[in-house]
Amino acid sequence: MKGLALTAAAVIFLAGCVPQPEEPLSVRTFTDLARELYVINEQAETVSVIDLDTREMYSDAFLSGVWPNHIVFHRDSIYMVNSGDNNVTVYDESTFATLGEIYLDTGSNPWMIIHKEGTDKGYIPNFTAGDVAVVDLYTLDILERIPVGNGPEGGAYQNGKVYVGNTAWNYQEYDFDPGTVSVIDTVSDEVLTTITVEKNPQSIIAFPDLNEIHVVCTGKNGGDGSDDGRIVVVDTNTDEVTEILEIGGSPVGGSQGVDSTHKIAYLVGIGGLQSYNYETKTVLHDSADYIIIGDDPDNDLFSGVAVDETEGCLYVSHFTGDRVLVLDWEDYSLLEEIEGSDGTSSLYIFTE
Amino acid sequence: MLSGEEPERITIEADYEPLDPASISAQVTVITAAEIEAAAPRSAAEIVAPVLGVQLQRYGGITEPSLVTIRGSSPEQVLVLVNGKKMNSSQGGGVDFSTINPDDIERIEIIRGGGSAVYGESAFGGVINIITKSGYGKEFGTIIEYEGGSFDTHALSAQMMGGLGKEKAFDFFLSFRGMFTEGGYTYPDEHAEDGEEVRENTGGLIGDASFKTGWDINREAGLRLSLSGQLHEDEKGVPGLAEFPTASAVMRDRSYQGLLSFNYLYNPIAAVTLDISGKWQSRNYTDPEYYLGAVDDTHENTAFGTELTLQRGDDFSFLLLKSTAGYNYDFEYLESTGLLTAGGDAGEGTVTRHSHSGYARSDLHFFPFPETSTGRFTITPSIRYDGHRLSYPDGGLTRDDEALSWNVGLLVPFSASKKILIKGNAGTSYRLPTFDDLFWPATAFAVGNPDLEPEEAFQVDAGLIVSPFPFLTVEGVFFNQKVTNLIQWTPGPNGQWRPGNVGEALIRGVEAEIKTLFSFVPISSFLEVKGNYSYLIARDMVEDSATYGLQLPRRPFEKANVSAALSHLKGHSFRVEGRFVGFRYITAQNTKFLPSYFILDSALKVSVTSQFAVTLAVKNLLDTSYVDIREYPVPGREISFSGRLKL
Repeated sequence: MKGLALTAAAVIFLAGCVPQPEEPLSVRTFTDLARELYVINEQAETVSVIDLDTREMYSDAFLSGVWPNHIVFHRDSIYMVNSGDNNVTVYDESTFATLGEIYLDTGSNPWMIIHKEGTDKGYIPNFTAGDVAVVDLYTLDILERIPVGNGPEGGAYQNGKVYVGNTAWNYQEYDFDPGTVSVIDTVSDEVLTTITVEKNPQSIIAFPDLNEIHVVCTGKNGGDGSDDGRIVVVDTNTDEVTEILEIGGSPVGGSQGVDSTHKIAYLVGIGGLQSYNYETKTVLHDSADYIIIGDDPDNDLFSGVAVDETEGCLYVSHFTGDRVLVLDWEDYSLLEEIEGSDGTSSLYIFTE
Repeated sequence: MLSGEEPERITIEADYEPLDPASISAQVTVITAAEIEAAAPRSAAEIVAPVLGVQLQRYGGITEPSLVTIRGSSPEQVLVLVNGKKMNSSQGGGVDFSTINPDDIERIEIIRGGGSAVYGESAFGGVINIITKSGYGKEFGTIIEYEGGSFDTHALSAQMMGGLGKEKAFDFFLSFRGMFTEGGYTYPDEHAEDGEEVRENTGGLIGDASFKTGWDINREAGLRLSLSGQLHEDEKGVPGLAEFPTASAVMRDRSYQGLLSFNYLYNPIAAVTLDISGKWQSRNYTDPEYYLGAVDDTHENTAFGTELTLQRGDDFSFLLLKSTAGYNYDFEYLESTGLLTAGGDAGEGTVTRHSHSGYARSDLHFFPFPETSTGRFTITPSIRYDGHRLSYPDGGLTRDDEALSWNVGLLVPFSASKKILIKGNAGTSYRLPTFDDLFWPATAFAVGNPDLEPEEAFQVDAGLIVSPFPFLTVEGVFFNQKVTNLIQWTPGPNGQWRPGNVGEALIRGVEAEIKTLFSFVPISSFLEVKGNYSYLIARDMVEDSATYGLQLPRRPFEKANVSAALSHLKGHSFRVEGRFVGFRYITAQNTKFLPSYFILDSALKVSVTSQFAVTLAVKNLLDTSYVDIREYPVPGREISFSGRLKL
């Protein structure tokens, strides 16, 4: 019986040693900062916060949903798009307490929120549903669903219109069909026109001063060594393509990556950071001349960029390295590496 | 069964040698046909779920995939054998235990821990060897069984077995099974109006047939020829992720495999075995209404193998030496409508892999002390070389992989009656990247990686088995495994998943088990009570990553099982079984987890006559709501009733 007693004692001892999971994060554990950088951690399914003044990282500050993809700040709240949960969760910006949810139904795969400035209206492209949900960001109601093209992902608002890129994956051909951009009138919430662009228009950057949107066509995603990224310039007065920039790589962009001081737009992807002058339409760093190259250019993934115009630097998330790099915006020298959480991706600057 | 024996000294089994946990160094659990029948399982998955060190990953109902992991492995890292031949598909994905007919199983041996030196490639986390029933030594008989249960599930099966001819020199076992389920169980859903949602597209139809025949060509001379085969076809709905249901997706699996085995026991302590095996597997996946356009993909895997094994026993008085040496050749061929092409696109293609293996192992039994007081010590060194050549002409790729694996096992009994046993093993193991890992076609969502290296591991374990009384056995084991070149699929910033050799993992833990058996002579009954507990630490050891030192996802720290089976000699039995699975992290950062759960199953069997028995089984008696895999809800309480007629 001694063996039995010893085994029982060992089991009880071990059971007492088993780590217990921590309760989900739901409150802000640090003071509300004047200038914050929100970092989506795609694999950890959390959001970290960097104090832009001290560059201190508050890792895993609060939980996101599944496949977190995009953040919008509105009315002192954080709107988090969770592609895998088919929802948008709303948090209080000052406490991180969960305030509510917009559930878009199974099979939607929401990509981002395109906020109509000055209103509570948001437009959410749903990748697998092939539509755009019009939502009230205040009441959290879904107002309408507007069918668009195949695989809508990124978009932007400008001049009373929402532009949404349809990536058009073709399962039979194992390739993308020609990408399109659906133009939605935000008064009638109807599709005004559809513009044919290049392959895989994943993101759109709005330049109101130029009356342009720049459609970042990622190309075939780079996983196969493709090098076909392009920027398609669309005149928002005529909604016609005016210019195409050959930038190569597999770029993804967004409004956070725009340096309005130097008129440069930064794009992220595999291998490094790309850029172009959005005013002169000059490519500055294409796929043959990445700004930063990681240790393993074929596999290093850079997944978010934000320009801090106050400090004159760039924040770049290194997805595979689980860190955020800080670069000087003049010579791109590395100022700091901030260790992050798992799968650092999109970056968003928030200022009081 | 062929066997030659020099009394109490050394034995050679040419056909199949059942593993005896008390006589070998490996950490083994054996499940017999009687135990299987008492548990009333509907699939092989339910048989192995309560075993020490085993973790089941159910993706849904009875026809949906049920994968098995051992000691914190992935499903692909578990080598599954049927009659000693590999079930794992080179394409990957782990063996689906829901497709294995429990009625065909005579015995299951679950070996915990890696062992590529003995079993070859994929024997990484453990090995599950399924021995199918045979008619050898059995009277002619037929069994017919019907089972009906929850979710409009119906199963009809029949087995026939026995010996024929002079001295029953020819024996056979035949088995058929057909099963249908409508599916459509409910699961909790916070967004549903009444808090519950129906899981659509979970119906399926399964058909199985198997046979095993043997012919003692010359029993005196030890000549035996045997032929066995398993045929399986199914068509089942693929419900998809709960948040991304695929209501029209259908999977059609077909697999046919056969084994021709020639055994020659040419003197009582030497034998030759020649096996020739073949396997064909086909998987067709269609979804005409997939969100991004219709999908229709077919993959066909064909494999042939031959294995020559020589066994010899030598008695040197102070030392018994049982040696095994062999050569194995395997040819695997994949034909697919969707493979990564040389240009990085996707298209039709074929992949072939030729594998040559040579191995040798010995059981050295020696007697450092008088045999009557301490029994015999056993040291089991094993070594194996595997060479693999993979060719993918359409992908412009030829690659060679080699592995030299070794293992040393030690078994020390501290008494002739084996009341105290010490076991230990040390060795290496490896797993090749699957064809899916290498050649997943470039889509918007995923792409394979032809440059992947094989996963490798070094593992040790040590165990103590104490049997102070005939009715009580207590076992405790410590294990440690260091994994390098671990293959993991991770998403990229463009939403495209790809596999990589991400680095290292350290997996260690302890396992404890207690078994008791009480007999109640006045009422001709006996009660068997078992309990086991495993504690697992599986650390991510990828340096410079945010997840360094954290628990790998989907690995519970704790798992425990307890079962009690009351059996009567007339064939009545009542069994209850509880399974506790601790919380599992679902993110590598350990920020989210699935909660722990406890499942209680029960089965009551009543032998109405010596030929007819009925069984009432309730799975998940407490109607516990749980998931093994995020987004794949499983059913709650399931009730089934069966009648079994023996003719």
